[in-house]
Amino acid sequence: MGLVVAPLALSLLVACGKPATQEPIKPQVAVYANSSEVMVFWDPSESF
Amino acid sequence: MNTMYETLLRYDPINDKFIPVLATDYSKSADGLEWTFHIRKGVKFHTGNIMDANAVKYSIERTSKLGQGASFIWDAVDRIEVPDPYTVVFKLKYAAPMDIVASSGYAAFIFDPQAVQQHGEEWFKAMHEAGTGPYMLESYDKAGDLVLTRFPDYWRGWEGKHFDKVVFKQVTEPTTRRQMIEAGQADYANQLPLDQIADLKQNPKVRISVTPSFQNLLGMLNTAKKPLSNPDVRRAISYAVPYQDIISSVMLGYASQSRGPVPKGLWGHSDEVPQYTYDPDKARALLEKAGYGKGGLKLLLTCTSGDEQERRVAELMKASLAKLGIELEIRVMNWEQQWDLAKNPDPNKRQDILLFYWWPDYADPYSFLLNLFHSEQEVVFNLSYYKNPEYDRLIEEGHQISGVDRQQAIAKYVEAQKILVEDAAALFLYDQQYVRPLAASLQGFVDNPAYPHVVWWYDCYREEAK
Repeated sequence: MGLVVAPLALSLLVACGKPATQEPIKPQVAVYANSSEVMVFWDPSESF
Repeated sequence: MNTMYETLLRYDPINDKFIPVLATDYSKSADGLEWTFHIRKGVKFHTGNIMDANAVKYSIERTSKLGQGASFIWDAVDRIEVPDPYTVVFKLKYAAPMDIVASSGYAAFIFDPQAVQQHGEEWFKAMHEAGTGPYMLESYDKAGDLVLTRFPDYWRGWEGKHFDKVVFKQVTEPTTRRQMIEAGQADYANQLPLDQIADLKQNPKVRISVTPSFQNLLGMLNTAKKPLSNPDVRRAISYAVPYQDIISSVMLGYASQSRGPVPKGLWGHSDEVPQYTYDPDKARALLEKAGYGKGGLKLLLTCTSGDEQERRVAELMKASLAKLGIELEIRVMNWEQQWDLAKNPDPNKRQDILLFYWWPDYADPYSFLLNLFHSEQEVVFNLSYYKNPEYDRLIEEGHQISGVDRQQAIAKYVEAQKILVEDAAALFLYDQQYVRPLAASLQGFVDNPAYPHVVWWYDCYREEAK
């Protein structure tokens, strides 16, 4: 279903107004940079 | 969710094929009212318990009973039988396409019944999970990261190349997401402004994935409030939208004008469904006919904060409508505020136009046709407040035969969409492509339009190009 934008909580990165300063990715760790709060419907019966 | 949980099947809409996941195979009766799924043996939940037919039955029955989210996808099920521990039989009230339903990216997840029975109904909401997927929850910080780690007993095993962990970071600032991709600090970023994509294409460390999607942008027109309660005014607005300007200047060509609500590529889409084109003369004539020839109309459009594309679409519409003497107020709101306004008990206090995206709960046009335009007693997603018994009848009839005669269902869905366009129930703006910036070293990425914004991390790995 189509709600693209979840509630936007400011990330620390934005609050600081600085470029990303994370450590480089470890070889076997994948990183997904998501534009909003990660939408996890914790109850799998209630997902949409 | 699709990284922690799995479904019976997965749908490949490009090839119109179903991929076995927790079910190994399935069959249906000639009348489409009985569907039998054989359940994969040797699958464990993250809890360590065994997944079997009873777990499937429990999961689906609980989802249906709670009636939340996209649970409506199971509405056709009359009862579920378990003749043996690895067989599930769905007895249906009507011939719904259970293979599509069972492969839904929402509300079709299979979870461990014992987790619920042991810990109570609120256990999941306290941020626990009990899926069978390749990765399981390691930690979650509401303000920051979600970390998933390999499930050692995953049924497909861990031979070959796979990531050990997957970290989801909340990064609201697009420039920061871009920097993370460029600096090799992220493998995937979603929703990067399209004007930044051209620059990224030059970077050898970045790859741009462009694929058709089932996501479209609609302008829901308030049919319950003057002046848009008049179909001629709605048609006038539909002729006043500069569709091609929007596609070229906002979407930079990564979209095409919609034909009705069902996006191109999804079954049920048809080139027979007409389109409005930008035609200010026709718009003026219709406004004249409706008694608004001298201008003076004021309309309120709401769109969602944080979405630059919606805002820019609204600005182009504002400029275009101004030429017809229509003043368009644009109100950028967060989604909850926007939705509250849209559900105000008094239709006259709601917005006139609401911009929002839809993508299907499951790969079925019924998701668009039902949720967006079927009559509603209580407002949920029919934010045009459209009510048309003939339309309702057509899509209900289509849905009830779609599991056994898809072509006949499509005929009814196309007819229903023609009615929507004729009534100008909404502005059908564009079907968009997904444009994803990826680390060039990320291998195995496939953008499946039936599962928007899902990355199948188990299939991915990192390898520098040679």
